[in-house]
Amino acid sequence: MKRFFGILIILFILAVLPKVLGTYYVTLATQMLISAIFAISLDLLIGYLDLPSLGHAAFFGVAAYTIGILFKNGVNHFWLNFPLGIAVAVAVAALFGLLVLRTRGAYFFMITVALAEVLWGIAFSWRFMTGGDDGIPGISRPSLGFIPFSLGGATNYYYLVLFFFLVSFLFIYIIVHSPFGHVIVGIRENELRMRALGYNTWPYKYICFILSGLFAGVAGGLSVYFKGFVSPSDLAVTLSAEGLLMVLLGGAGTLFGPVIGAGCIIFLEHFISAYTERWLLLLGIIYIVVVMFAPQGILGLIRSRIAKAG
Amino acid sequence: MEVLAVDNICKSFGGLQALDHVFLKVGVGERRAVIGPNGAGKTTLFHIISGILSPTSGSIFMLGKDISLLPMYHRVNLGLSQTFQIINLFKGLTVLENAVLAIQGFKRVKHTIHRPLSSYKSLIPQAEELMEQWGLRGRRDVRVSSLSYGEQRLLDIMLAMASTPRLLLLDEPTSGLSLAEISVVISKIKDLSREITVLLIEHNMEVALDLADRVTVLNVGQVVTEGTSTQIKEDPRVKKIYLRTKKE
Repeated sequence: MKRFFGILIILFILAVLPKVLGTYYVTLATQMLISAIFAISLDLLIGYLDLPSLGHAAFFGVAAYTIGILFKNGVNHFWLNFPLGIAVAVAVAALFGLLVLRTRGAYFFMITVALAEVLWGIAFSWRFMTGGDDGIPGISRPSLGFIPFSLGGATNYYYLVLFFFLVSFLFIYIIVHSPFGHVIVGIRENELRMRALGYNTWPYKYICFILSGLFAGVAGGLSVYFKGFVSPSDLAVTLSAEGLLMVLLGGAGTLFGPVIGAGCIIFLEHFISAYTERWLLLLGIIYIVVVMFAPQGILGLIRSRIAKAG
Repeated sequence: MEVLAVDNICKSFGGLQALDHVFLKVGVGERRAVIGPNGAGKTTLFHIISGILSPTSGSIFMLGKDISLLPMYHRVNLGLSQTFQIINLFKGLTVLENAVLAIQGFKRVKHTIHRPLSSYKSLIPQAEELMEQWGLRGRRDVRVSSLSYGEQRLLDIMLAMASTPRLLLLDEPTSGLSLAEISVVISKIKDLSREITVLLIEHNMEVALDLADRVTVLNVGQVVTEGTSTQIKEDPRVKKIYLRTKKE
């Protein structure tokens, strides 16, 4: 019951946010929500399968580029571009999954970086298609077609992102609480024993990996219309590292953790980049502090405090 | 027909011949112990039967079916189950969550992605019944890492039994346990239905001879002899193997 009211309050705050805050903060909140979707999708790998990926930007980026390239070629229907972007992210995840899921730990980490860098390289050098390091600028937000809701203003776009955030969150919540989700946790804890209990573990991991790519694609698609711009930085290792940090900072293996982590990182990024350009340096320091003092993330820290107090 | 037939199995790791033309037949309901000194190839043999390792040559038959090339999970679904020499559990999860994973393993439920686990009303009572049988009901919500070693071993066997297997492989079920815990585990194994065939590796000679109907003696990858507990006790070759290794 307490939890139910808590969720209601959070939903209420999210809904009235644009009425209270100015445009700058609405934009900031929009970016937080997009990053939160990205972070939760990555948490499916890090937290639920214990597969630390440093190439998650690949799925984010290909969705963004798909939409951008379609736009460049004169196609800009939301209900065509957006689903196609996600579909390409899923296809890439299905392909990468075949390669990366044979590995674990550090090897997984390395091969995900390598594959994402390949895509980055393609985006960077295939100027004719991707615009190279200039990217594809000026991508305008299309109409929602049959839905009479303009995406023009910051507030309206915020509500679109909020909608997709809630849907994604709900989907992933259902997945991790299903029997399938329990199997995923079992694989994380002890894959050999799972096989000894009659589970064919490979398809579970593969499906989880593809789902993770799908939601990263949702974030990428929302991001490209948010910024009106796609560039190789949407595929870069920096973005993957940021996602990783959001998950670790908030608390891997939980759903609220990555959301909190995404909020904190985006907030700090905006706050600090007003003073210095050495933003990445700070990212590194945060990483070290989290690993040393809060290995379970912010959420883990709060939980253990509550447990101690109780 | 035998539950298990190991047919001319060889296994080498590089230059080391771990198993050298091993034959083994285990009948329905039998309690069979495999004994032998360290490095005899007992665990290697188990891993080949369960599918963790593949043999260099030879075949494995279960209930008349050649399972040599089947993946591990497939063999489990045909009725093979096992515990490991080193206790192998889901340490970060509770006893109940362990039990649910084991029960789900042979049900279609495990594929469901769109319904909460808690909405499957029959899973929890089944898990509780299983825990009751193994005396772990009271530890329902305890994390496995907080259980005593003896309890962990019981849970280990319980997970293997959740699928009501036809053939149960126990790799040193009493190793590392106190005397009191050993007697609990032995009585639980003795209580198992005779519909289940049990093949076990045991270092503790007394336990092996107590539990088993028949004993197979393995030494440097070869079957030395096979017989009833009394025969094995009197066998001069067995004495020699054990005495020699003790001297060394």
